[in-house]
Amino acid sequence: MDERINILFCHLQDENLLVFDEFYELTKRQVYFAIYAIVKSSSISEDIMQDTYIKFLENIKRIDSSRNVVSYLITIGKNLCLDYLRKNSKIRNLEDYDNFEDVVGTAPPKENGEADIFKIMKEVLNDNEFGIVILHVVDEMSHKEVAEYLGKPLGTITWAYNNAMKKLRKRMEIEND
Amino acid sequence: MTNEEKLIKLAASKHEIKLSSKDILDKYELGGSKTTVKSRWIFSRPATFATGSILSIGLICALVIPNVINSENSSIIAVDSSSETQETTSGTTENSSTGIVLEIAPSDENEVVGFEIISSVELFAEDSAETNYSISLNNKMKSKDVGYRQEDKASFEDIVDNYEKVESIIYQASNIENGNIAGSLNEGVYEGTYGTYAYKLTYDYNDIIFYYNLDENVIDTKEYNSYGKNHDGGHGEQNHFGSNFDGEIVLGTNVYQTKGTRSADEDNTRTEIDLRVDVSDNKFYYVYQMADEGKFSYDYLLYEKYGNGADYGITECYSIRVSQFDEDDFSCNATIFSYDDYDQSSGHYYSDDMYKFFVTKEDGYYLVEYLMNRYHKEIYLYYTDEGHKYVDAETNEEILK
Repeated sequence: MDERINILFCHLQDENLLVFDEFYELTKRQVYFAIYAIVKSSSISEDIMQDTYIKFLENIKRIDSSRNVVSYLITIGKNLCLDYLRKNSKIRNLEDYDNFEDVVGTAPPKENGEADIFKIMKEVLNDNEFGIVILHVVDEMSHKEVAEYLGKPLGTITWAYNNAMKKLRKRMEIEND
Repeated sequence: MTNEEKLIKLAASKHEIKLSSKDILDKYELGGSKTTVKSRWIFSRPATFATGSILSIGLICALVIPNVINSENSSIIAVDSSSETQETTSGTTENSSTGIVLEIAPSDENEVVGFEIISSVELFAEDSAETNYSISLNNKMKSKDVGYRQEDKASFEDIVDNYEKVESIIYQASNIENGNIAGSLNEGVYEGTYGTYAYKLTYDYNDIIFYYNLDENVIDTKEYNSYGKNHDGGHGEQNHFGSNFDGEIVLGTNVYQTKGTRSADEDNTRTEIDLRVDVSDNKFYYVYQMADEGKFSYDYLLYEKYGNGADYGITECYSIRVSQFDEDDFSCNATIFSYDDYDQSSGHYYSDDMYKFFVTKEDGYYLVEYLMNRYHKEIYLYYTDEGHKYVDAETNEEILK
């Protein structure tokens, strides 16, 4: 798959947008969940993902073809997430709303059609833990890669991951009983 | 892979992503990425617009106007908080005292500005057979409650003192499973202040005893892939072994409750120890990580002080050791004290002013990579015989001359 992505990337650099559909299909899930891990909302994730790919296309001529393309996409996505959160966190400092988190999407958004396990994760895990679990399990990043991605020490990541899995296990046991 | 992990993976594979490639291309062809996540912008709510606007203006005035020395083109502005400033040709100002205030002004004029870091970096070099460098850094958010941090200094220093001792014990704990213990380990039934324990570890210091219980298991079996690689082409499965230990550390008359995890991969090439130590009302979180390559290890201490809302603070202390056993022998010690804001309600560490340090040696000088996450700005701090200099990692231009 990596090889195919690289071939498609070269076509995109040559302004052949006909291959974009295949390129997107091969890369979207990894990019999506790297974003979802931070913002925890499907709709916001898709908004940010759209801008991620557009930024990618806008800058495609300048991207070093020897770089890992998916990693590049994920980095753009992360930066857009941080911009988004930064704007919202500033506002949050200004006012205190009971339902503020629902507005900015940092609390567990109530989304239709979401898998039960994601709902449970949003209920029992804090934002940090949620993101770490998604990145490690779904995006298959190692703890070290998660640490680099989130800009946190490796120990914090391993600690939070272990805690998160314990919480989930406990909750699943209750659900199963 | 655990059942929970399998469930998560399965759910992710079935998760519907509604955004299509056509949506992206349509928007791309219409003119790009300038629109973002509009619907959740709080100021779109009429009821909050007026209050928010007033507060924003007030915030900008309070935080920015008194300090900012503008630069027309550069996105980096340095301002002096306490001493006389001197404007340089590059549009930055230098600070003649140890305190340096960095204002990173966002290039987008519409963004709210209000971010300042006060840093002081001190470098100590000692000529000896092994060159040792010690680097310390202090960061404060000037716009926040500086007084709180100053008050906190004494308690922090106490903890660092203890941290030095705790480090020895944890190092011993890291070697429990392979029997490589320099101290004295006994098995039995030991009554501690907070519980009953199966092991007692006494190290060189008479006043340090570590009572603990150990629970060993395989904590993780994972196919290790490289980041961004094809998930079908990993490097094979590897078991991750772990021990959970809970216990208490006795330092003289002080008793600290602890919980920790030690994990190692199958070949024991990489070991991580995470330990949380509760210290009265505060907590500090100690992580000892080491790699068996013998070249790099670091300790990490996170001290959390719980306050109310904006007073919440975290102090982090890293002790980094790098050693290479070749012709270019050296060791590098870096201790970094930092203060970071933390959004307690969301749990986001990376919201505003997270930063990282990396210390490496290159071509005879030590390179400190200083990453400030908020503006994704990377600064290199070079230390040479002539002194040290800051370089913008992106442009390679010297800043803060």
